[in-house]
Amino acid sequence: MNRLILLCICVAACRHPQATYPAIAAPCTDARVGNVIVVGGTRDDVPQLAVLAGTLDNTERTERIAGVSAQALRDRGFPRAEVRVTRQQGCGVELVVTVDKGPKFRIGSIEFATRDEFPASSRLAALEDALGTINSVGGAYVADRLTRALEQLTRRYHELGWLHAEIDAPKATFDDTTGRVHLTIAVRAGQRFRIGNVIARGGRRGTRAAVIEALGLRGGQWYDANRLREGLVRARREVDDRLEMRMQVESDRIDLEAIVGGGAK
Amino acid sequence: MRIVALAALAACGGTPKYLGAELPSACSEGDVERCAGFMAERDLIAGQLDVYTDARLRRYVQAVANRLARGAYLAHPPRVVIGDHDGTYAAFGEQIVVGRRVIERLASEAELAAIVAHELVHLEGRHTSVSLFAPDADAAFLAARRDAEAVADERAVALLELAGYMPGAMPRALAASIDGDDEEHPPRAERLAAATALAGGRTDGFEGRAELMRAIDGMIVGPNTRLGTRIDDTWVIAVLGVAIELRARDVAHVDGDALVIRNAKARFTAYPIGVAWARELANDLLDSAHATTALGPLAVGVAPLRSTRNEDQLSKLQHAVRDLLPQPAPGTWIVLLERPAGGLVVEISASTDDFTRDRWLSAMRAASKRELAAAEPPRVVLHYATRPAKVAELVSVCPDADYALLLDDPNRALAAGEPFKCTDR
Repeated sequence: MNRLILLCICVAACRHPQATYPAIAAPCTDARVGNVIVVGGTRDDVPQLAVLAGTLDNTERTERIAGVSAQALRDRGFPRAEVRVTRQQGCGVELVVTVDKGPKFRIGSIEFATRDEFPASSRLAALEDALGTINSVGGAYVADRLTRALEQLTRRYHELGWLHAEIDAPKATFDDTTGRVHLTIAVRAGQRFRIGNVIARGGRRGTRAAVIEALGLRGGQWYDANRLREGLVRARREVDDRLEMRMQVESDRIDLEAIVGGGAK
Repeated sequence: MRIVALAALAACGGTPKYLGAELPSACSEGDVERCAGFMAERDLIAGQLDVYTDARLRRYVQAVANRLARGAYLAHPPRVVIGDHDGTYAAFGEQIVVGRRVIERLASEAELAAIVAHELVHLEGRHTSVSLFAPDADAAFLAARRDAEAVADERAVALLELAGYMPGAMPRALAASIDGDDEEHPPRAERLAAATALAGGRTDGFEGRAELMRAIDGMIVGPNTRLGTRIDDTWVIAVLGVAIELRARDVAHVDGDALVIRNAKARFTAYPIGVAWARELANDLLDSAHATTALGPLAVGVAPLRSTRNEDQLSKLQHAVRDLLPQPAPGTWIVLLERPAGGLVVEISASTDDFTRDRWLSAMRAASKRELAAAEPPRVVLHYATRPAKVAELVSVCPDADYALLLDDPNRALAAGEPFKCTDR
């Protein structure tokens, strides 16, 4: 056993470390960014600008990247973050990045101003991003991701029968004393539609009955686009894909008409 | 259903899994970048059969990345994975996927370092972020992407300098690896000009042509062959050891990421996937039937809709990453064959008559040794210059001189005794 341990130590000691090569001196020229100095923060706060060290100096590009850096800080919970870049002479051009992160905010509450019957927990879950660390209670508020999440939530409303639902842009209230931001989101759900008539046309009587059975939808149920899609997958199997679906939206219901023989085959 | 399974596993003290592997702690600690990075690597290995498994080559490229990382603003060197495809990219969670087909075109370790350094800058600059709500690829988004790519090219020269690699390798590596222009990168000519301006014609530093050549000696070259190849009247998918006998009027060809066999209106689309993904798909089939055949377990059924209702954050992320895997459209009839090395998904189009479908399925068998040998892709074989000459003048000794010219710069001058790449057939 001891011999084995000794052998292992010997093998480990005899292995060549990964070779390193001597660094090559970088030329100092006015065309190149020699160094990036961060003031008021660290390189970790502005990694997009920190990696300009060694690049060609490009004023317009640097300004755009400063904007990206500031937005990234806002995405991390610093909604008032500002980033400014100035230049000085050093080894080539030195960029001085001044970071003013401002206070950090976390989401204190998210309130939906609505009385509709959309499941409340699903509304909140639809907003959350990045494993629940963004746009969730306790997480960072990222406005543009919330906007995109609300677009998806609006589609979910439509899919569950609120065909005319609209969601307003969120109102954010920042509380400087607690470092919390409170979000209010107005939802105008409108009327929720039920399924009206479900009928099948074409094919034989038995086929039509099988299609209706496979669809699994009945008049009076709330309209649900996912259930309709699942039913269509089942019904199309019954008729080898030869099925077309038509929907007619009436004032308070959606009529469904399955046409056998109108599909792919 | 999957949420219930995750909750049950958690309650039992087990760890949730993704494609058969336990999720890392990053997934429970809210570190979405590392969590998604883990899933992306599982996709390559257990989902797509798209990792080039050559431990020696991977260690070599990893050593290059480690050397470069010492001069970078990273706490740890990135993990390197060799992809069995064209692209090279920085994945989430400090991972770099280097495409085998990029490596085959490079001529030295310094050029490989240039490619790795470019991706390393993307990690340093946190140019990628994981979101379930992807931004629109509008003008501002594309401008930011192009800026990030230009910065990655330029700072890569600085990382080469810090690691002691020859800066002049950067423009050469870009020239070898960029085929054309796209809207997410600056134009090729601009990229080459910027890299050339920064490299300044400097030839000091480590080049390492012999080192790269040794590392890729025996490496497969050419397109990924997982979709198979035609050997006489048989289509052979060597990666799975499966052969499909073709009859008169069967037309077989690779179309994008799938093998397509047609006969009049009938169509059969097939693609290999990893075992873990194959098992998940087989378990989720609707109206499924399962059988054990001489080739392996077989599942037949209909691809289901993938509901994303009422999911927790981790399940949503898993679905978002899984959506990137090859998979049948909902409602498609599929046959799924499981082999030791992976699964074969066969999609039968609705216009395929039962006779043709059954004939194709019965035409699948285990590939013979002769067929597997014939389907073997070409590999790199090193030859050595017998005199000082350009690559173009030396490759006449290669079995396929035209292909050899694609593997290096034809105008590169070699000294006597220097290695150059040929293929073995």
